[in-house]
Amino acid sequence: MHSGNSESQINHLIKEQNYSVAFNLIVEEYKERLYWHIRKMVLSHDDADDILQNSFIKVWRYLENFKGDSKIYTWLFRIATNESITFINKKKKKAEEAFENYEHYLSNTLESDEYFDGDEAQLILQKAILKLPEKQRIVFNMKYFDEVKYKDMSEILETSVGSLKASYHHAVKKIEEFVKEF
Amino acid sequence: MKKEQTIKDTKFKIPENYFQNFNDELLIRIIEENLKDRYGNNNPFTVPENYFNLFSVKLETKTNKTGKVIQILKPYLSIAAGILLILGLWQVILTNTNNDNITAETIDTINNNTLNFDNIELADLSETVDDYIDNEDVYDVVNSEEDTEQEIELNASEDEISDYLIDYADENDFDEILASL
Repeated sequence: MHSGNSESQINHLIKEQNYSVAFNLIVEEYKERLYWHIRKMVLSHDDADDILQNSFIKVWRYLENFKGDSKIYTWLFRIATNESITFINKKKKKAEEAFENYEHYLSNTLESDEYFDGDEAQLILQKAILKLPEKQRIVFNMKYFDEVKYKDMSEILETSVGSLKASYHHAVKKIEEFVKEF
Repeated sequence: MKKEQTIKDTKFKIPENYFQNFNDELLIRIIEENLKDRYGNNNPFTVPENYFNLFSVKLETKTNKTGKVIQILKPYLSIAAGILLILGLWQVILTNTNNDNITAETIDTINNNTLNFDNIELADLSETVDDYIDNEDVYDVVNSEEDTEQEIELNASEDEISDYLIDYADENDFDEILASL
């Protein structure tokens, strides 16, 4: 999930107050992993790009306040997750105001998305994932695709391991039910 | 019994409720493996060409801009905050001096910062208006204007009002009247 070397290097640079070098290193080290984490939640590339930029701008603003209480990667993933959830909630609210369903809209646009390269089976799986409640969706994506350990997930999402396991179990069972229809 | 002893003898520890939860954990694992066999767990999404290479450059421009804007605005932010505070205080003073005729209940409402169009009850509003109309000072204000040039008597007939308007229009340029509105 994260390389210890760069983590300690970044921590050292922050302690030395060498913030811009630390920031550049953070961006280079984590941009791809954070991008995919966000992308799986919002599906659209453009939305993922916006959220990734906003997440890093937050990191840049608050880097001086990072005291090393948690690991860098945990802090980054937490910021990216929160930014994504905020974004999704805003989109949901807008959709509700227009009497539309955000998940339904995502599900429809996925088929015509030029940056979706999946086959029919992967499309079905993505549609099934979209049916899940937000928290289960995040947990499922992290475990199923990225094989993130519950312990790491627990630090990022600030949720107990037991609760995360329960969320994942529910998610897997629901997805199994959904894909049975195909 | 034999199993428990083995665990005790070897001094290995297991997570709490491990064996109780084992069946459930195994079932989920089987479903998960079936899903992976059928649908895979590869990433089906792609990004535009060179996206990650160009991302850092794009972000650098954005963070520089944000940083610069904050730097430029920093000295003005405190001035703006000061102005807002003064305006706020001025508004409070104006509200308190201009509302001598408003009921105590309404003043309480203003002081509690709850006066907005959403939470004014119709009954409250009509009570306040009734109080204002009942106050004889209102008529004093009307009476004091009786001597002005543009007086219209309250008991004037329709014809009289019409004549007045025609005379007034003759004396004044319509464009000027419209401009003054």
